[in-house]
Amino acid sequence: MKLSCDRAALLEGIHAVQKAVTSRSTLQILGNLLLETREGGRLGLVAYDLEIGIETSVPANVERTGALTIPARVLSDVVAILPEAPVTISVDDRHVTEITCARSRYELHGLPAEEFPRLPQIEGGVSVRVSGDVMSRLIRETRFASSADDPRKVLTGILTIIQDSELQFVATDGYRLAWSREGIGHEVQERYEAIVPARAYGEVARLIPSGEVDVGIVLSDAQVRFTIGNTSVQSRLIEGEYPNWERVIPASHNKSLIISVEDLRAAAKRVSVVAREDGNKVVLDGSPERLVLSARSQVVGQAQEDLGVRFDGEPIVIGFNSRYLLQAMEVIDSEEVQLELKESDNPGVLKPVGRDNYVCLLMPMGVGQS
Amino acid sequence: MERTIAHIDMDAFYASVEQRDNPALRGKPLIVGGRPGGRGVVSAASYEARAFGVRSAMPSSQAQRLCPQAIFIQPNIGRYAEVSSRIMEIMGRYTPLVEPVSIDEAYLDLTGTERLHGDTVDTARRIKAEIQQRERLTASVGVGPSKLVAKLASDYDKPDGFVVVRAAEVRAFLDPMPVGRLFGVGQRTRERLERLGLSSVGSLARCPEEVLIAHFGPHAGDLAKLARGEDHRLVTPEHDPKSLSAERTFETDVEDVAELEKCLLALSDTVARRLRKAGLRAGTVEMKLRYDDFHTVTRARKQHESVDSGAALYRVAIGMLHELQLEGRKIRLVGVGGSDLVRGEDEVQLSLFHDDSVERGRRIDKTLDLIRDRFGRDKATRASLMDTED
Repeated sequence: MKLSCDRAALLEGIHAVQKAVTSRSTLQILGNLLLETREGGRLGLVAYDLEIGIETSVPANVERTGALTIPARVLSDVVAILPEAPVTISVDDRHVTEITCARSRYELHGLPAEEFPRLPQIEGGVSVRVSGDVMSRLIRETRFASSADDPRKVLTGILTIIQDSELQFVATDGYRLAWSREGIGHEVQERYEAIVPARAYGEVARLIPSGEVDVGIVLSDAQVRFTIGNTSVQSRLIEGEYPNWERVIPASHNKSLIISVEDLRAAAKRVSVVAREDGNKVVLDGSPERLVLSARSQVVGQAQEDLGVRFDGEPIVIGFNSRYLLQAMEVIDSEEVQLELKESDNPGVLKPVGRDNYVCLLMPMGVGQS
Repeated sequence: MERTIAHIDMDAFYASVEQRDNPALRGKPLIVGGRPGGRGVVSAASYEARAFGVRSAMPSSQAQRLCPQAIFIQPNIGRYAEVSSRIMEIMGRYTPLVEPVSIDEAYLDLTGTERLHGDTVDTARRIKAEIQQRERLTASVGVGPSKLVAKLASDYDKPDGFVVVRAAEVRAFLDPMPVGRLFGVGQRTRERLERLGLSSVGSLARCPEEVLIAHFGPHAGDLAKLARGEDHRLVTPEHDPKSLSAERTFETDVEDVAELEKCLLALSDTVARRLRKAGLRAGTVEMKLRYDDFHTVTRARKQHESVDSGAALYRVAIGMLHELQLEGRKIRLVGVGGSDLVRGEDEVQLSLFHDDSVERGRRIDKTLDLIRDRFGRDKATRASLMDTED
């Protein structure tokens, strides 16, 4: 293989795929990138950690077709500091990769491209397109509620539902739940449901550029692929049964608070300084006149915030994890938010005022359970 | 029942120890702390230095400006800790309920010591005298029906003070004090109280609770109670531990993973039981493993929901165990622990999806606790542990 390409484009390509490189595996080759020539004068870059794979391609002058794999870290470090000039990459049959650029020349040790695991083929399934904006929003509004490391693997994913002409995302870690949905403009016959690793969505979100762009989704039984321009993210689906999330969304409430998003976000941020010192609990004391947020810590002291509120119902005192409240408030982008409550041990439901396609549930922090 | 709480506060502790041990320093303004050239602060100042306005926590450079003739010495914390533990030991001879607040102060609950030591006020006086006699250091002692009053009393006549406030005198003692003296009243709250005309503890005590709650929120009720001298905090001999753990060293190194798992379960039960006894829950679960070559690995995993059950600790610990490469390795020791401890009654994050296994685990733990409390530790165990526990 021999080719040359633009340094900046190559670096951008490396950055796009790098997050699917793993250095922790006992399989050394998973720490490598696969570089291969593609038709139409392009260089393909692939990283794959056996769960998530990212592929992209950049324009290249291909002299001799072929493929090579090379440690991602080294390649990335090298290309990052090369001068702004065309980069030539070639490989000999001992898998020594030669990289030259202006007056620099590297010889790097690779592994045979044949040893690099291939991303599984996606067969059958459903295929839809959504705008990049919609995709970004769905991810932003749900991903934070998924679990980072729960032994219940399904909770580390985002339940992705394609039904009728809607795309729905649901995420929960068992203590809070976020549900966001949006029309996709075209009808889908069946209902498709899959649990996609939240990490994969993190990569998708990262790769969606600003401006108008579409994201293609192909969903099969075991794999999903998202395509954004020349780049695609493919992921294994999480097997298992997602908890019955629809059942935990309260059907009714008897107290409703309408609060300025900015005020609540700022207040939650301020009291969390104290709350995080001791159990993370923030207490909301709501009455028709006002909403008081407070937190206390035996060691640090206490904090209190007073907020204006439009309140409907009986006064209530309820505790929440301040981190959960804050994270929810950070993704709600309407001017006002409605907080629906029932009793102090029922979930609180946050809804952006003026939108009916987003719900975030927070389970309260209770008192005494032993 | 009326309690007798003593608060014993050593006078200018670090400085006093230094002056005691070095006669050349006696009667001189002495500052223990960082040297004025650097960024050090005053850890303690002798009363001679305090007369110049030197206070602890003040930058050393400022202290030197206030008192140019002061002698600066580096603190010798090891030495102070030694003296402190001897003093705490003296206190411990009169009551088991000694709660050290810091190296140089402690609360003592003397309630009920009459039969052994006579009148509680006399006992407090004897403790002060014994500290003076044995350590040649003075303490200021406050005696009152609560921690709040005892603390304010010890501060009332420093140094070398001895102030007793009886229950009937509490209001008269507290009323004239500025509100800032109450714990929990920081500068901001104090300013807000003063704006409402509540600058003395007495005026705060007389203010209707509803008014306070309207201004300061739901916790203001506690403030009013404090102002009236109502403080029910207990003297707790030990600070809540930072972590709890149990470990086991095998007589012969273990290779069998199943054996390790069993041991981990037994240890998880032990730790969980100690957590529950202390009324604590662990926010982080820890696991420790020592190989036969003494190489030791520890793993810790933060939990969303704090745990206090053997099953829950075990589930996390076993997960961490399985992430280690154990094939062919000989294990010398395993341990399980809980840290990030929180009081059990508070801070329980409720779960969206009711997990029956959690509820079941809780019932098993309760039953085991009950049987073991009543009949002894070895009288009940999990079936899976029958052949490993002694």
